[in-house]
Amino acid sequence: MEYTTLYKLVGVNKVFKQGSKEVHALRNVDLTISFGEHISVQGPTGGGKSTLLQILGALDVPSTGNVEFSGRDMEKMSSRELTEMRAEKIGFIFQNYNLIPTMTAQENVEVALAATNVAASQRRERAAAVLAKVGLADRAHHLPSELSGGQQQRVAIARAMVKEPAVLLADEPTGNLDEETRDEIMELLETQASENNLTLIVVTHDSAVAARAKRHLNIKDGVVREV
Amino acid sequence: MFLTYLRRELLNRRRQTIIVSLGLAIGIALVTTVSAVSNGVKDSQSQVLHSLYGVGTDISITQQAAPGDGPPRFAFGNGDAQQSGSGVRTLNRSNLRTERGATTFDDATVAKVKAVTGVAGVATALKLTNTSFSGTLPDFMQRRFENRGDGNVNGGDQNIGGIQNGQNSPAMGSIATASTVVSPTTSTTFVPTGGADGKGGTEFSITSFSVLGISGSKADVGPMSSVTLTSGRLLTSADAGKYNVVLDSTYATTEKLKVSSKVTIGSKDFTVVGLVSPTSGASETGSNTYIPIDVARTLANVDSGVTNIYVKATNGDAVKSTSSAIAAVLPDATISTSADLASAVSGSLSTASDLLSSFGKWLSVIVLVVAFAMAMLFTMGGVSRRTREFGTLKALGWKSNKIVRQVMAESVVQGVIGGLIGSIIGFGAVAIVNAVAPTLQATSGGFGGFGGGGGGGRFGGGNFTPPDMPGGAVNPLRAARIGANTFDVVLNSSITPKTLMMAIGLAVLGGILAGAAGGMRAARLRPAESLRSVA
Repeated sequence: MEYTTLYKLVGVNKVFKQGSKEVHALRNVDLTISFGEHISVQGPTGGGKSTLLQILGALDVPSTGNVEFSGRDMEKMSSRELTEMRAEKIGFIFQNYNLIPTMTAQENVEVALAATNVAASQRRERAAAVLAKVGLADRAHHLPSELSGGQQQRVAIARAMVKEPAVLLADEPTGNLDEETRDEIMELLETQASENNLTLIVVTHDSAVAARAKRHLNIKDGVVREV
Repeated sequence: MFLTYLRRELLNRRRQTIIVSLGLAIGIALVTTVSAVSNGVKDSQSQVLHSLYGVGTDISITQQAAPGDGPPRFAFGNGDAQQSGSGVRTLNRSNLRTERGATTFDDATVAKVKAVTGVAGVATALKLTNTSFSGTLPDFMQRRFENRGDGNVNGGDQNIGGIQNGQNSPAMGSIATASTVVSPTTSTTFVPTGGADGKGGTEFSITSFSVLGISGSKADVGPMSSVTLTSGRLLTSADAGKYNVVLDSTYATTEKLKVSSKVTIGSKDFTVVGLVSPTSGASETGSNTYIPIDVARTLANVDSGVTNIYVKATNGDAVKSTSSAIAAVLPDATISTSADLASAVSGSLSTASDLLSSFGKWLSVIVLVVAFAMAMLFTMGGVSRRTREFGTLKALGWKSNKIVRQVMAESVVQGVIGGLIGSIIGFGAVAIVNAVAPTLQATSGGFGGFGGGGGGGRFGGGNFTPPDMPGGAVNPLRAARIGANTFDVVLNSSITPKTLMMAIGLAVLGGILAGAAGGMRAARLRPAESLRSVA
């Protein structure tokens, strides 16, 4: 049987200490996500959506429980290995685009490859190619401040895609965009994901965005439910 | 990516770059300037020392002052005054003697010094001061007679320029003293009320200049090692016994003397054979006049010996041990090394030196600390503002040390920019200081009062009864300076390559400190937390 499981979460708990108070962000989460899935994650603010995304993105580790990524136990990975994993396998897309304001679109895309062993000349080529794919070839040498919100998010998508990751983790990717742009961005994400057989996990408040996914998760008070 | 990112950050966050760089630049500029000026002052000090003690002199030996040696006295006998027909007597006397308090070393002592291990060369000199009295006194006999007559007589024969009238008219008088102050002749003018009762009606001048008795040839140590001949010739051994004198060129200029002029020293007429100027940048040489040492001894009634021994050590590093060795041989002598001599120099030069070494140094340190602290705070602030940026980079898989390196590089470049700007400002400031060319005065080797303190000079002796002059007729401050050597040195500072390197080094250090502070903060950011600031 072909191995298809990307993520396997077993009994994952995440507890934050906020002063003397403990906040239970995730409670006993069991979750299996396969390659190529398109999943939406919804839920009220503070329910644990972001925490789940951070654990999936190897930015944070569970307090208890076990996370496997591509069959590898993340608990047993060093922080260096986790960093490498982020550099090579995980693409992040943020609500605020999080582009580096001092760099051009092209350079912002290259930043993602700067964390890998890709040679400088190849970085330029690959970044330019991905920018062309997201329709921004003519904007490659503009600063983020010279781009519209939709264009900035396209740059961010290009940055996430350029490393050819296994998964795209999008945190409210359309939260700052108007409806028309939102649909364009979602279409772009979905095409990119299906063309490259990527797992696409989208955290959103927007039910229209959530509706586009094939599998729906809801997190409330740290408890994950399939919808 | 490293360079692209660096360039982008520095250029596109220009305000941050400018603030941090300028902050460091100001600190560096101050340090550079203070250090350059302080080097300049040090140079000036060594110039003064060279002029005083010779370039090659490592150790200077003088005998400790003998007690009970009074101020110069002029003894005028009955026949000393020349009487003119118009009711005044003219008195002239030139007196050559060793400086107050100085006693001499005999030849055996000099030989002992020569024998001390570590002594490479010895030069000797007899330091003397020539004091001349020149003035007119009322002829009391005639005055009395005339007062009985019409009561108002004009004094006519003035060889100095004062006009002396009858008892109610003011008379001019002056006391002129000359030391090696820039303008060696300074006058204190007072207006005594002349009269036949002996209250004033007198005018006279007292001039004084320094005389150094030297042995003929030019040596590599001692006072003649630091002079350059400007005209005429130097004294040679052939001048022994002859009334020939070499003048300091500045002194010659102020006294309007030139080669072949006549100078009265110790009541003898000397012929000027040469003029000398200091080799270094100081304005004057160590003495106003230089005469053959045997002539000096004869005129000053010194049987033999010298007042000053100048020693050159075989090894510059051994000055201290050589000086101790000499001290063992000459327990009573005052032995000064060049370092001691530097501390003996007073005046605005030494004030400037003290100011720079204390205030200037602390000011630089404080400004530098403030600049460093500011750079660190701004860099840390910058990192805080870029929390999301660094969080994103970490999410993209950038290693912490890659981010730290980036922050560090930004700060170091800011430091280098600051160092360069600071150096340029420093060069400018030093150029301004040099353009202003402050003249610093150094006083060295001053002796006590001349003719007493605040009470005004009383010159006793012979049949010269001093007029009842108002107190303070002789400016006691001026008088006290007679015998001291005062030099004017124009401060010339320059930024040495060493200073420049130090400045840039400090700036880079500032950058590294700032980068370390910012980098540490950036490294501590947990990626998840840095992303949380998104919301």
